[in-house]
Amino acid sequence: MRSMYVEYELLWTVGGMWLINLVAMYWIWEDSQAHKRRAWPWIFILMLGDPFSTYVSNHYRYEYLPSKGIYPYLVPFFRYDSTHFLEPVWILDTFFFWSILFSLIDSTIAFFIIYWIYSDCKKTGERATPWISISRFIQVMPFPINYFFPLSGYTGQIFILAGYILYKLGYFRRRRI
Amino acid sequence: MFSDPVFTGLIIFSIITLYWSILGAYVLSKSGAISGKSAPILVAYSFLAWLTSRIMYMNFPEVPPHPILIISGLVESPQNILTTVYIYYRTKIIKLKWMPYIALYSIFLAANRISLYLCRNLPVPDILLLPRVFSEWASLPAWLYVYVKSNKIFSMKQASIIICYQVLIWFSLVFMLHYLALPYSQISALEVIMNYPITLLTLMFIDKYRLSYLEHTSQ
Repeated sequence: MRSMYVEYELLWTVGGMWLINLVAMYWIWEDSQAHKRRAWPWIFILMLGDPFSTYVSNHYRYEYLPSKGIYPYLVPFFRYDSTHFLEPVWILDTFFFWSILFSLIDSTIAFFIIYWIYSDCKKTGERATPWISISRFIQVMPFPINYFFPLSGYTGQIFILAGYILYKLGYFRRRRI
Repeated sequence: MFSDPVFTGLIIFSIITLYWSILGAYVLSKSGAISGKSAPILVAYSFLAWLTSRIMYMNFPEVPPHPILIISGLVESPQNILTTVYIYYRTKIIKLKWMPYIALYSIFLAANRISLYLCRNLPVPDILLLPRVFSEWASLPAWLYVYVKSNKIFSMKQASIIICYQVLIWFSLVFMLHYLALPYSQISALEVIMNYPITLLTLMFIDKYRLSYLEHTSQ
């Protein structure tokens, strides 16, 4: 019965987020083309992945679970059967009300802040790439950076927005002599 | 109908998928990355790709070999590669003739999936490694066509070094698994790090190529 839990967990995948990643990449390349500036450092930090989380998740899947009698690579081949679903209320509560709802709100706020910064930079002729890249990076930061800077929700985006507005007002700029 | 929690969950997830797809396609068209007419097609594709993967996940017969992996990969890997190339093309970083590219890519992708299907009975540790090797060589001819032949981002020598390094990564993964008997979790974490030089080099070369081209056109 425990193996069925793994199956249902893997069933819950949201689609469509790939378009949001695509938009961010497009903005960075387009902006770097327009300003004739380097893009690789800004793209590279978004492609770092997370070696530590990869290690932990695969350790859990391939080393820990078999010792408990669960073989994750065999799980997708079980035929789906909702009668094996043990605690529906608990699953619904965990997945839908907390994780999904909050991630939807967080990501929407973050996305619109990035979009607004991109549009504003386009109007004013400022470079948008660093803002877009850092905004996306704080959402996908690898361990241990995300441990010391827990800013992946919309809190981080508020810092970015405040930073951008201050920059527009003339703060954080290099003095030109 | 809503007494089945799995069904309820799938309805909620389908609404969220549709939400992200519409939002993404809308902003892509507003940014000028795609036309307004192609936005609904993109939304439909995004939603159907998600729906197909979920239906396959629930209904595929209980067979230990791996057709589900092979079929689900048919959608995901082309999507990543094609969208990256599309961004480079749309932002005028590269020039490309789409028909030969799509034809070349489709042929090798089909060969890749057939060979992967033929290897479906391999034991588990190998099935974890083999899909990577196949996905590398399947995209290689199309990669050479875009980055070496059509756009001269890499010279043939530089491209060969990158390809050799990728082969070396694969050999080291096999070595770690079969000779050092390292757990898969350690191997997968090391693989993420070993891929950094390729990502870095590719990005730097693309940047160098496009900046020199921009400089050349502005003079």
